[in-house]
Parts: sequence; C-alpha cells; structure tokens
Amino acid sequence: MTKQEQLEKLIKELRTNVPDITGVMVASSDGLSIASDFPEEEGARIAAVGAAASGLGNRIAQNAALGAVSETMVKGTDGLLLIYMTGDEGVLAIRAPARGNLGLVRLEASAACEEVKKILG
Amino acid sequence: MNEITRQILDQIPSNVKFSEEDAELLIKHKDKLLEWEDGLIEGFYDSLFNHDTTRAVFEEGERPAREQTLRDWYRRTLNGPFDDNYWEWQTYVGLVHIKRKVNNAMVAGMWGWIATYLGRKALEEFPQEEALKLISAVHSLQANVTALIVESYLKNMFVAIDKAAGLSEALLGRLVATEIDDMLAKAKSS
Ligand code: HEM
Repeated sequence: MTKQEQLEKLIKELRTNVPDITGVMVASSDGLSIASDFPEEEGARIAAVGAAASGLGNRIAQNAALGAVSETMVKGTDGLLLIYMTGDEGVLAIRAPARGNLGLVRLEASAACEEVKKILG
Repeated sequence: MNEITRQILDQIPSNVKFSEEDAELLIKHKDKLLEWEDGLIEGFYDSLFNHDTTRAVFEEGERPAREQTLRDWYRRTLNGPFDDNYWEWQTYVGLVHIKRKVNNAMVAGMWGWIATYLGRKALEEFPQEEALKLISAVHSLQANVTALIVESYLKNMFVAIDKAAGLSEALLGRLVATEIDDMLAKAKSS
C-alpha cells in the first residue's frame, strides 16, 4: 500500500471509530494537504491554516514556557478543530462538533497521530 | 557568498546582471563619478526630506549621519571590488531598512532618482557612446543592488515571521496561494 493509501485507510477507520468526527486532514507542516476527507474546496485552506495554527501554537508554547505542545485547539460555537504535530514534517487536523464526545475524539486522535508518524516517517 | 545573496542574484537574467565589464567601466570613470558625489548626496536627501513619508523615517538631526552613510556607500561602490562582501552588504542593507521602516517603494523610487541623476551627468560630460555604456553599467548595478535590498527585505520579513509566529516561508506561500485567485478576481473586477 502507498503512503497515500495507508493514510486514507487510517482516515476512514477514524471516521468509523468516532462517528462524531466531521473531517480529518493530514497535511505537511508547510500546509500542503496530503490526505483528507474534507470537501476539496475546503481542504486546501484547512491544510494551510491548520499548519499555520500548529506553527503558531508551538511558538506560543515556547514563549509562554508551556513545554512541548500536545494539541492545538480552535473552538467555535458550531465545532472545534484539533490539530496535532505528527513529527517534524506533518500535521493531523480533526474537526468535531462542539458538543461531541471530546474525550473519545482525543483518545482516537492520539492513536491516529502515532500511526501517521509511522506512515510519514 | 552567503546563501540568501546567491539565491537573489541567481534570479536576475545574466545579460542584465552587473558584469566584469560594468565593474571595469565604473572603476575606469571613478574620478568623474566621484566629482558628482556632492550633488548625488544632496539631491537624494533633498528628495527624501521634501516628502512627508520619507522624511518621517528620520530622527531629528539625523541627516548629516545618513548623508555620510550614502557617501560611504557610493565611495565603497566606486572603489570596488565587487566581491562577495560587497553584495552581502547590500543584502544586509535590506535588514537595516526593515528595522528603520524604509520600505521597498522608497528604495525603488530613490534608485530611479540615482540612475536618472547619474545618467544625466554622464550625457553632459561624456561623448554619447561612452555615456550610454556608463548608463548601462549604472542600470546593471541598480538591478543587482535593488534586487538584493528589496528581496532581502522581503525574505528577512519571512524569516522574522517564522521566528516569531512559526510560519515558514513555504507555509506563508501556501496561505497566499489559497487567497490569491480570489484577490486577482476582485482586483480585475474593480
Ligand atoms: C536607494 C538606495 C539606497 C541605498 C543604496 C541605501 C544604502 C544604505 C546603506 C549602505 C545603509 C547602511 C547599512 C549598514 O549599516 O551597513 C543604509 C542604512 C539606512 N538607510 Fe538606506 N539606502 C537606500 C535607500 C534609502 C531610503 C530611500 C531611505 C529612507 C527613506 C533610507 C534610509 C536609511 C536609514 C534610516 C538607514 C539606517 C541607518 C542606521 O540606523 O544605521 N535608505 N542604507
């Protein structure tokens, strides 16, 4: 299986395991979408701003002495976007509803993160 | 030569870039070009001080020191050599300009003034053919120096944004790419 296919499989599994999730994206740290199930028009923008949020989150953590970043979250009234670094080169972004089961989303997200690291690594 | 300087100079077509012959020509006419120095310095700073946005760059009483900066630059240029150090210095000027809020419009505009001033002097004081050669050498110098100053201004901005906000140049490029088509469409329709 190619990396692309492995990532697509992982995204499908994540969606099956956590039906609350409304979108998953793996992007490069410079904001290029690698694999995603966001609609195509949204995908390129989410990849770029997701990577930007992750970069900015890291700098905030450094400047405010927060230690290593485990998650960057943007929460709105209608939903939230969780962003994770997957090694130096990649970013995983997950969209979920504001009132979903955040605990489960996070649990699955951290497992998915490790998987993405392995696939991209 | 440092990486950023080489990268910027590599963007300029070779027939436009400052060449050995251009360097030889400037150095050959160095004495004449140095005679034009006072007028160049005065005209340059008169322009900057007669315009609100450029005057605002300077602090009270700073003009003599800045005139000396330009004088030193002009003399160093005409004394040669046009080596790595010289070009790297021009790249560094872009960084100094960021710090002093000297933007690229100001630099590009004033380079136009420098080229016109030297061109006019050349036509007054040399036979036409030699004057045209000299004008061409000045334009090539302008191409290199402007490229280094303005592009390093931009690249160093990207580096500073990356350091401050964690947004790499490639990522900024991607963010721009997501918006540029809409911006172009809007600009076209307005
Ligand atoms: C047109 C071509 C220009 C050239 C070739 C040029 C060249 C230089 C050079 C060589 C330096 C000194 C860098 C160093 O520290 O080694 C400098 C600094 C500076 N330039 Fe320019 N410059 C140009 C345009 C301008 C313009 C248009 C302005 C203002 C509107 C300006 C304002 C300044 C200021 C304020 C400094 C900082 C001096 C300091 O704080 O030490 N320059 N420039």
